[in-house]
Parts: sequence; C-alpha cells; structure tokens
Amino acid sequence: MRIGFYTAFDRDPIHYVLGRNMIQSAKRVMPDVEITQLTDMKSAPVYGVDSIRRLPREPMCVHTARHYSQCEGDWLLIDTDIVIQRDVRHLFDGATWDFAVTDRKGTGPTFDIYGDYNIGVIFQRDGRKFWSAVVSGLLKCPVKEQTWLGNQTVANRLLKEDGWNYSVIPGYEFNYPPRTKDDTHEHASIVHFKGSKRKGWLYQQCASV
Amino acid sequence: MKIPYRMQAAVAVEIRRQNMLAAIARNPPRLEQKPFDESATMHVACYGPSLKDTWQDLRHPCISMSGATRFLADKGFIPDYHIDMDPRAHKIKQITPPIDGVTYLIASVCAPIYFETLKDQKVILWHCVSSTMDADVEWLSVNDFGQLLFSTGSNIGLAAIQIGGALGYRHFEIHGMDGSFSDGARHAGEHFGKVQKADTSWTSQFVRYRTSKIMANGVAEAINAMRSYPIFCVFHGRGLQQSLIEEENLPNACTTAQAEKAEFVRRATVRFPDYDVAPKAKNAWEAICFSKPDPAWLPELQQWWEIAEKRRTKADFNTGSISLETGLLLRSVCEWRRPKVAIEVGTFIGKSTHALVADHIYTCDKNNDCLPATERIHPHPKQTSRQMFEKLKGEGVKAEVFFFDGRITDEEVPLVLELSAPGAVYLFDDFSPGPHGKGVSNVKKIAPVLKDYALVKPYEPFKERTTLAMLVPLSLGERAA
Repeated sequence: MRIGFYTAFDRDPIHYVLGRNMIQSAKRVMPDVEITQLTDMKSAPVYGVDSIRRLPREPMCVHTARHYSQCEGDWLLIDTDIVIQRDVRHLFDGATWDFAVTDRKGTGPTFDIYGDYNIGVIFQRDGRKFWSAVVSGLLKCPVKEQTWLGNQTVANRLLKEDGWNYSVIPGYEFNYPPRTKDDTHEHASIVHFKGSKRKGWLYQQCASV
Repeated sequence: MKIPYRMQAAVAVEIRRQNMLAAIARNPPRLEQKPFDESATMHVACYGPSLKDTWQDLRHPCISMSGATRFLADKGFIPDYHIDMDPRAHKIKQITPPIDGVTYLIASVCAPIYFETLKDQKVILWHCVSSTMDADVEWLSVNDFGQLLFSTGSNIGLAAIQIGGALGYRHFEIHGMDGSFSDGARHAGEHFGKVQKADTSWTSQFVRYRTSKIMANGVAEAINAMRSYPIFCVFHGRGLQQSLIEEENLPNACTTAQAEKAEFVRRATVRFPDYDVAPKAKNAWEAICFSKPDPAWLPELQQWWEIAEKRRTKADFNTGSISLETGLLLRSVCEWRRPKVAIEVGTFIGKSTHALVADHIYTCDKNNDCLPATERIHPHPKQTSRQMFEKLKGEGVKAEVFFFDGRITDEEVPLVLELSAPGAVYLFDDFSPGPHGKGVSNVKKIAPVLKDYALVKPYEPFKERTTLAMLVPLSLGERAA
C-alpha cells in the first residue's frame, strides 16, 4: 500500500505544516510505507515525502480527483489534516472491493450537503473509473464547486448510483474527527482534524511556535 | 516506487568530507543553475551493455560517465561532459589519460588524486549529498557557502540527469541505462570498478532480468525521478530499466521502442496553465511583497526549520520560535527589499535568521548561543540588543531591514535610527494584544520617531499562525502597490 495526499502551494503553507505531521505519524506506525505527494507542476515537496506526482494545475477539487484517478494499485488516499495512529494495511488483505469509503456513524453531527461519506480517507485498489467519473461530474459544476467541496458532493452523488464496487468501513475507526481539543481519540486508527477549528488544534500540536 | 534494498555507502562520510575540503581548496569553478532551454536536449551516455547497440544515435551535447567516455572517444565521438561522483581513488583509471575537449563535471567527494589527474583539463565542481541533506546543507553553509547541493540518487546515471537539469536541460535521450546484465556483462566495455554479482533478478513484461541489488535500487530511483520531476526522457536500448519505463506508462518517459510516444515526449514542454493562483491583492502584505510567494522558498525554509529545531538542545532558554508562515513573510520582505544588511534581535535557534536574506545578517540573543556563524550570518550570542547595536554603530553598519523578536528599550530607539539605512523596513514579531505582545510595545516605541511610515498588521489570512507586523516607508509601500 502507498499513501497519497494532495496539496499544492498557494501562499498559505498550513498544509505543509500539517502534511509533515501526517507523514511523521504514518512513518511511525508504518515505517516502510511509501508516501506520495500529489500536486501541481510547481509546488514544493512537503518535508519527508518519498515521491511526488505532478499534474498541471486545475481547480483544487478537479485536480485532486484527477490525481486520484491516476493512482493504480493499493493506495490510502488522505487529506493532510490527518494523524495515522495504527498500521491499516490489513484492510487490503483479501479485499474484493475497488475502493472503500468511511461512514459517519459515531463521528458527530454533519450537514446533509456533505453526503454520507467523507472522502478525506479513501482506501483504493482500483479507483480509476470512479474518480474519472468524479472529474467528469465536476467539470459540469460551477468553478466555485470545482474549487471547494465539489469532489465531496459529486463523489457522494455518484455513490448513490449502482455499478460501483465499493465497501463502507467505520469512520469511527478509520476517519475519526475529534470532538474536542482534549479528545484522546485513542480508539481510532486514523484521526481527521477536518474543519478550521480542528485544524487549529492540530496546528498547535505540531508547529512548536 | 519503493527502493528495494538497504545499501551502505562505499566510503565513510568522514573521508568524503576530507575529499570535499580538498576539492574546495583547489577552488575550481562551481556548477551554477542555468535557465531551462525548453527546446534543447541533452544526450546521456551511461555505460550499460546496450550502449554498444545505440551509441551511434548519440548527439551533442552529451554527458557521459564511467568507462563510457573512453568507449565513445575510441569510436571517434568525444562527449561534451564527463561526470563522476565516486570518492574511491581507483576511479582515476577511467579518466587516465584525460580526453581533451571534454569538460569534467566532478563532485567534490571525488578523491584528491582525481582532481590532480585532471589538473590541465576544464573541471567544474559540484557538491552531492554525502550524509543527509540537512547535515550537508549545514556543512556546506560553513565550508562552501552559497553553492548548490545535489541529491543525486545512488548512481552516476541519475546524477547526470540532475546535473543536466542544472545545465538547463529537461529533455534527455538516455543511452545505456539498463539496470541489468546482458550475457553476463554489466557494462558495454572494460570497467575498472568493483565486480558486482548478478545477485538478484527482476521480472518485467514477462522477461526475467538478472541484476544486482545496487542496480535494482538505481532502477527504482530512476522510476521515481521520472514520476517526480518535470523532465522528459527517451530511453534507448533494451534492459530492465527500459522495460520498467514502458510498464510505468508515464506521460514524460518512454523508450525508443515506443516510437510514436517518443516523438510526443521529445516535443512535450512543461505547461504552467493560466489558472490563476495569485488573485488580486486583498491586503497590504499582498500589495507590497506577498502577492505570489516563490514555491522554492518552502523546501529551503522547511529544511532550515528541521535543522533549527535540533538546536533547541543547545538553548539555555528554550522558548517558542517563528512559524513557517512568518518565515515566508520575512523571506518575501527580503526578496522585495533585497537588503545588503539585516539586523535581528532574538536569534534563538535561527529560524528567522535563515528566513532573512541579506549579504550580512547581524543577530543577537541575550540568553542563547545556538546558531553557528557563517560568512553571511554574524551571531552575537549572550549579548543584549544594546550591546550589539553599540558595536555595529562603531563599525558604521547601516541596515535596510530590521527584525525584532525581542523587547527593545526606549534607550535603544536612537541606536536603531542610527543603524537604519534610508527607507529601512522594520519587522516586529508578537504583534498581538496581551502580555506577550512585545511587538506592540516595540512598534509603540519606534513608530512615533519615524516620518511617513505606515503600519502593516499581521497577514490576516494566516490568522493566529503569524503575528508579524511591519513598519514600511509610505513611499516604498505605494510604489510596491
């Protein structure tokens, strides 16, 4: 399994700070895992990545989905605001799904607009068709949606259709958003500091300023 | 692609460093980054067995290496460059006698006798990573300041691509990079290096290639290089490397067997699309200096941050340090003002010092002695700002940029003014309300004595991740906007 994450530099280096922290967490529990940054033609590597894949810049959601559509083989595709606490490679053992998404059970309230599954954590064996469909869907959306949240909404819309060979795994374990700053989240293999408030908590932990 | 085997370097770091010092002492010209020529192609002649089959397709300019240079010269093709980075002395056999007309691109780690052998030839010196990037950056900043450092990968073929990049090429025609044996041979001709056994194999496209652990690592590194860098490569000949390149099916790399794709790769260029990544300035920082920060600042600052964090163990007073966000803002101010001299109060572990760019940076810390001096950086450890200011005043120093990350006193304000070059910019960390807001206190002391200056508050989009404010002359601010 490889880990892939998307980030491109656009004045704000927060995802470089969080990304470095995510990489360190992954290497702590899976020292030999290869971590790949998915980015544009110019952005710098996040400190500690093993490899980079570059594609010409597009609005962020399209760019991310296009990168995902080109990830062949076993991948864990995650956001930068994530901490990995346990080795999760066993999920691929004997898997028959093409990709796995996390549900939101036990992960606190959310808004319907975001859909049933948070795509900040994706386990993928063969997601080429799915993410190509997400790219096609996004390109029909307004630019604003192509830039922010569109991949989340389009992916969830597509997942309501038949024909995708995917599995739903518990977000409580594999995509857990801490409820408070002091939430110890020890039960979770993957902790997701999504949203600006949680990102702030994580940044405080990892920036040593 | 994961690098398959853990290997040990052939020569210890201490010896490599000795070699580097000796090479630097000879003071040959250094390799400098040239601008990219999108229409030019560099031919690379590695010494794998398939070079025998394809060398006649080589064109100029050409970098060759190992025994390939002699192999080609014997056939009447004089390569433009020969590259080497092997620290072992026996490598001189490959270059003895030297070939006139060849420019030798020699890494500083090569043995002193190597340079002696080339004393009458055109030699260009470059540095490759010998231990870790962090350690070598620090070592180089002391011993050959300002020179490029290349993370080459484990073999000289990979290094040729990196150095080709520095020479301004991103299109490569690569010969003899096989990564495998052919009929028991590892090279196209005679080779004087240590004999490598075909101790492993690698199957690609249903063909089982005999290779060695060292070569297998190089093969994986080459694939990663193709995946990662904005370069375009056409591989000639047959071997494991070429087969894996075909398997990878990357948009920027192929073999000559893929004739149609090769034509596409040869014509391809890096495209930086029109998508607007730097919209119109929304605030003063963007209007003045932060509209389009250079992405190249980030890897440099990230590396300095890693190095600086390790200095905390030396600190007598261990405290917070600046964020990456503040580092970027400091760098943007220096790129805008391009100061000859910068003065900093509050060195600590040196993050902000490294973010600043000036010919000379004077910095003090009343509690700590964490930052080593370099040609450019002049620390004043265990000294108050007043002590440093007095000394600099005596030396007639004038600074265009000041960075205050320590509280200054009323008595120091006239000293700051005396040390200020016309149009100086004053930067203040911790510009925030409350007891830790020494930036506010410093601004209150300095702003009233400056004429026609404006206060630029911390860059709002970074929210609480930066507290950097600055006082800029209105004339400069207006001009920049």
